[in-house]
Amino acid sequence: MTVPDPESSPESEEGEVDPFAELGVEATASAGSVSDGLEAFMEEDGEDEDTTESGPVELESEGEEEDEDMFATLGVAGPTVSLTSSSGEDDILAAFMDDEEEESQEPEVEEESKPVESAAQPDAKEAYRMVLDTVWVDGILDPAEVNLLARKREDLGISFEEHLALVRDMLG
Amino acid sequence: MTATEFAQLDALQTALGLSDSARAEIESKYEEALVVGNAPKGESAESLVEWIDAVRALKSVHPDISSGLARRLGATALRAGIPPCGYIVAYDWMTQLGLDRPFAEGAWMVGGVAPALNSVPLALAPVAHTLNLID
Repeated sequence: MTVPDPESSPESEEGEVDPFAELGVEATASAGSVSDGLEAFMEEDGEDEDTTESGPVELESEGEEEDEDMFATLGVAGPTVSLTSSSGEDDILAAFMDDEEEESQEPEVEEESKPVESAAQPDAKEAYRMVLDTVWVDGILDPAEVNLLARKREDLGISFEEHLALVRDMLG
Repeated sequence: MTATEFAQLDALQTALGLSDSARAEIESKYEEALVVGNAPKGESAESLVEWIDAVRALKSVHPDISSGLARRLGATALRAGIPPCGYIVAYDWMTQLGLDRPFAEGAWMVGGVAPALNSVPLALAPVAHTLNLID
C-alpha cells in the first residue's frame, strides 16, 4: 500500500471550500480526460445532485472542477493524488456507447433498485454467469461490457445484489 | 514503532470500526510477514499519519459525500478499465471503509453514470493504486 507524499495544501481554485481538499485531494488536470468515456451514459440530472441534499457541500454535476470545489467545502488539507489514465481509449468507448445510452440507462436504474425478492432462476443465473465470464476474458472491464451486463441483468431478472455475489464468486 | 504511531493505529482502528480481534489478526499476519521478510513497508511515519488522518476525515464527513466519492471512484476506474484482480481487491478495501456498495454502483453504472474524479482522495489512494488509477 502506497501513500503518496504530501505536496501541497488543499486550495479551492475558485474561492470555494474544497471537500476534496478535506479528504486529502487536490484538483489536477490529468484526470480530466478520464471522465469522457462515460459521458454517453450520463443523464442531464447528474447523480451528484442526488447525494448533496443533506451534505455540507452542494454537489454539482455540471463540471468536474465544480465537483471538486464541493468537496473542498470540507476544508481538509492534503497531498495531491493525480490520476493516470489514457484519454484515447476513453474517446473510443464514448463513441461506442453513444448508440446505447438512451435506451438502456433508465430501465437499468429501475431494475437495479428492485429488491432481491425477485431472485433469478438458476438457469438465468447460470446464463448470466456465462456472460460475466466472457467480459473479463480480455483482462479488463470496460463501459461497453458493463452496459451489456446491465442489459443482461434486466433481461434475465438478475438483481444487482445477485450480480455482486456472482462477481465475488467468480473473482473471489 | 513509536507510541505516537501506536496511537495513530488506534485512531485508524476506531475510524474503521475494526474490532480488537480483527486488528490482532491483521497485525499477527503482518508480524509473520516481517519474520519472513516480505512485509510491505510504508513510505514514512509522516505519510502514515497523513493517510490515517485522511481516512478519519473520510469517515467523518457526511455519508452522502463519502458515498459520492466512492461512487465516482468506481466510475473513474471503469473509464480507465477495471482489471478483475484490481476490482476485487478494491472492493474489499471499500468494504472495510463501508463504501463497497457505492463503489460497486459506480463501477457497474448502477443508478446512472457518476462523474469521474479529477484526483483521488488520499484515503482512497491505496484503492486507486490497485485499480491502476495512480502510480
